[in-house]
Amino acid sequence: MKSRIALILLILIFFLALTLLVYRNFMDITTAPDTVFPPAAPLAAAGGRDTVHVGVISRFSPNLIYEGYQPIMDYLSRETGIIFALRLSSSYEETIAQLDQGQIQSAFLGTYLYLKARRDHPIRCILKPLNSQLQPYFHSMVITRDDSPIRSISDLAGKRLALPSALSFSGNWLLGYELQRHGLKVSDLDSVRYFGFHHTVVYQVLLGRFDAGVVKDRVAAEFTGKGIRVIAVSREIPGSPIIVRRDLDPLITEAMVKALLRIDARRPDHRALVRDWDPEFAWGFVPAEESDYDQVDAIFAALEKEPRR
Amino acid sequence: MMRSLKARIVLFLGILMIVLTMMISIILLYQWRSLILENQRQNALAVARTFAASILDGLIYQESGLLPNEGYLENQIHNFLGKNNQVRWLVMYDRDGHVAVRSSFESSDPGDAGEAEALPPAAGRTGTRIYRSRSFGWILETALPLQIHSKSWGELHMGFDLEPARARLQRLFFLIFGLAVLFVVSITAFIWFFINRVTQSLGRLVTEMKQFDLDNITPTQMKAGEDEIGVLVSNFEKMKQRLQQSRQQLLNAQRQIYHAEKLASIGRLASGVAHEINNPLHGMKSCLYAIAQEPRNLPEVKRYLGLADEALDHIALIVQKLLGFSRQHAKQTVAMELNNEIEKVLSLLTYRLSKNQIIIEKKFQSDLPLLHADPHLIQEVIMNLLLNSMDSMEEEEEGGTIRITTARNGEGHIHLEIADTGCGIDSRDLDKIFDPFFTTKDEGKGTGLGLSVSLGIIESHGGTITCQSRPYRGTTFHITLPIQGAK
Ligand SMILES: Nc1ncnc2c1ncn2[C@@H]1O[C@H](COP(=O)(O)OP(=O)(O)OP(=O)(O)O)[C@@H](O)[C@H]1O
Ligand SMILES: [Mg+2]
Repeated sequence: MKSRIALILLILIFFLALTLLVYRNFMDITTAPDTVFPPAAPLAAAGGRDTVHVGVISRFSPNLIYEGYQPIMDYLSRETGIIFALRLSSSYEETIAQLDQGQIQSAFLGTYLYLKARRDHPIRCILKPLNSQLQPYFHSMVITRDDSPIRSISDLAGKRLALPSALSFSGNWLLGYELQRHGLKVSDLDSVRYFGFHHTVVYQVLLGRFDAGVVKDRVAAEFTGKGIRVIAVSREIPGSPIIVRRDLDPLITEAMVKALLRIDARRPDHRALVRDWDPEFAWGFVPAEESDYDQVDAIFAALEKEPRR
Repeated sequence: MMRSLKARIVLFLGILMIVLTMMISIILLYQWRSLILENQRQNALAVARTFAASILDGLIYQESGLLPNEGYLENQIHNFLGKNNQVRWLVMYDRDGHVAVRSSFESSDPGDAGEAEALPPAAGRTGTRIYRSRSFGWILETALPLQIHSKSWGELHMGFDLEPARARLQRLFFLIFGLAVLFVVSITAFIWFFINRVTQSLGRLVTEMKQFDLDNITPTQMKAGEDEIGVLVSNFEKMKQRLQQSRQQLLNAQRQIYHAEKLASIGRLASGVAHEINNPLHGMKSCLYAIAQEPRNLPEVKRYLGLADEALDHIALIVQKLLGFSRQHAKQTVAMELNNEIEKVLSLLTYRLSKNQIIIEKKFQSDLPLLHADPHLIQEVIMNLLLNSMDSMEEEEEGGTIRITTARNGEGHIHLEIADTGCGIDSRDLDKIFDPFFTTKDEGKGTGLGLSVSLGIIESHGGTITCQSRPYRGTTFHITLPIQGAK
C-alpha cells in the first residue's frame, strides 16, 4: 500500500517536473535572427562622380517611382558599366532646372513635356518606348460609360470632362485640338477637372461623376468591356521619350541607347528582366528623332494661339 | 487480487491518459504558440514595412533635396512611436551601417539601449528575431532594408513589444494545462468509479462462490444486472441449480442401487437359507415317511430318528450361523490379549491340525498392547480363517503351513496376518468371497457364511479385513484392528 502511494507520488512528481520543463521551454520564445527574403543584389555604389543622374518627375509616392524606375537604372548600370542613379523632382520646372544646372544628365519626360521643353532647353530625345503591340506610339482616347448617350465628341457640349495631368498629352489633346475640330469650345463644357493619374480618370467616369474622360490607350484597353466605351481616338502619338542633355558624353548616350535597344520584349528572359519596370517602358525601345515629334508639335500650334479655359 | 487488478487498470489507464493528454496538449500548445508568434511577426513586419515605406519617401525626398527641414525624419519617427505604442525602440542605419536615427524613448539609458539591443545591419535582408531585452522585456525585432531594388538607403530595425503576446501565451498555457488536468482527473475518476463497480460485483461473485456449499444450496443474493457481470451472475445461479439437480439425481440413484443391492443380498440370503435348510428337511420328511410306514419296526424307527436328529443338527448349525449376523452388534468389549485368544482357538483345533499334518508357524509380537474387543467374536473370526485355511489344504498330500503373525501397526492399531499354503482363490472369485453364502465347497460342507460373518465382526470393531491370494500357492488374510476398539 505504502509503495503504491510512493509510486503514484513519484509519477505525479515526474509529470509535474515535465510540465515545468515544458512551461519553461514554452515560455522561452527566443528565436535566432531569421531571414525572410534572400539577400537582394549587392548595393550599387551610388552617388559617385561618374554617375549619370536620371530625372523623373514624381507626382506620387517616390517609393513607387523607385519601384518602377530603379530596375531600369540597375539594368543600365549593369549593361554599360556606368552608374545610373535616379533623381526625383516634384515638378516639371524642377526637372528642367535640374537639367539646366547639370544636376541630371538625362530624364524621362512625357511627350507633351518634351515638346514643351525642347523649344528652349539643351536637350534631345534618344529613345522612345514601344507599346504592348511593339509600336512606338500611343493613342489618347475619349471614353464614356457603357450606358452613356454620348456617341462622339460633338455630344460633349454641356458635359463634365475628366482629364489626366495638365502636363500630359492626353490632358491637352482634346481641349486644345480635338474640340475645336468638332466646333466646340472649352466653355461649352459643363466642367473640366484634372486628375493625377489616368486610372483616376477612368474611375471618375465609371462612378458617373464625370460624363467623359481622356486617357491613354493602354489604360482605356484595361477597362473596355468592363463598363467603359471609347468614342474617339487620337492619331498615333510617339511615346514618352528618354532625353539627354545635348552635352552628354556621346559614348554614354551610345551605351544607353545600345543597352536599351537590346531589350526584346518577345524573349521570355527579357520579359522576366523588365517585369518590375514601369509598364510604359516594359516593351522595349526604338531610336527617337526630333522630327518624330514635329507632327505632334503642329497639333498644339493652335493651342498656343488660344489659351485654354 | 481484486484490488490490485483495479489499481493496475486505473494506474495503467491513468498514466496512458496523462501521457496522451500531455502529448496532445504539448502539440496543441506549440502549434498555438507558433501561430501566435507568426501572427505577431507578420503584424510587426506589416507595420515595419508601412513605416519603412513612409520613411523611404522621406529619405528619397531628402536625397533629392526636396525636404529642407533637417528634422523631418526624427519628427516622423517620433510621431510614429507616439501612435504605435507597441514599438519599443527603433534604430535606423544609413547606407554605411552607421546609426542614423535612434529612438531614445522610455529607456533609462537612452544612449545605450537601442544600440545594444538591435542587431547590426544585415545588408539588405528582411528578418525578425525574438529576444529578451534588459530594458524592455520580450521584444520582437524586425530588420527591414530601406531599399528599392538595388538602391539602398540603409536599414530600419524596430523592436516590437512582445510582452502582451507572451502574457497571452502564458494564459494559454495555464488554460490548456488546467483543461488537461481537469480532463485527466475526471476521466481517471470516472474509470476508478467504473472499475470499482465492476470489481465490486466481481468480488461479490467471488465470495458467493467461496461460500458455495454443496449441501446447502441457497439462491444467489446478487442482483443480476444487464451487463456481462450480470450474465456471469445469472449463469452462476443456473450452474448452481443444475449442480443441485444432478446431486439430487445422484443421491436418488445411489439410494436405488443401495436398495437393489439390499434386495439382492436378502434374496441371496433367503435362497441360501432355503437351499441349506431344504436338504435336511427333505431328509427328515422321508424319515418321517418311513417311520409312518412301519411304526412298529422299532430298530428301523430308531435309525430314522437318528437320521432326523442329524438333519435337525444341521439346521441348527445354519440357524446358529445366521444368528452370527444378528449377534454382530451385541458385542461385549473387554481388554484382551490377542495372542492368548489365538492360542485358545489353536488348542481347539490341535487334533485336526495334526491329523492333516499342518504345521502352525507363530510369529507373535510379545509386548502387544491390550486390545479392546469382544473375545468370542474375535475367536470366531480366527476360527473361520483357520478353518478356511485348513480346508484349502485338505487335498494336499503332505499338509502345509499356516503362518500366524501379530504385530503392532503404527500408533493405535494391531495387525493380524494369517497366511496358508493352500489352493488359493481364483482371481474371479476374489471379490465375492466376503458375500454371504458364497462358497466353492461341496454341498453340505460349506455354508459360505464364514467370511461374510467375519467381515461383519471386524467392521463392527472398526477394523479392516483384506485378502491376497495366488491360486495353487496360498492365501493371506490381513486384519487390522484399532486398539481402543470401535469408536
Ligand atoms: N484360506 C483359503 N484358501 C482357499 N480358499 C479359501 C480360503 N478362505 C476362503 N476360501 C474360499 O472362500 C469361500 C468362502 O469361504 P467361507 O468361509 O465364507 O465359506 P465356507 O468356508 O465355504 O463355508 P463355512 O465357512 O460357512 O463352512 C470358500 O468356499 C473358499 O472357496
Ligand atoms: Mg469357511
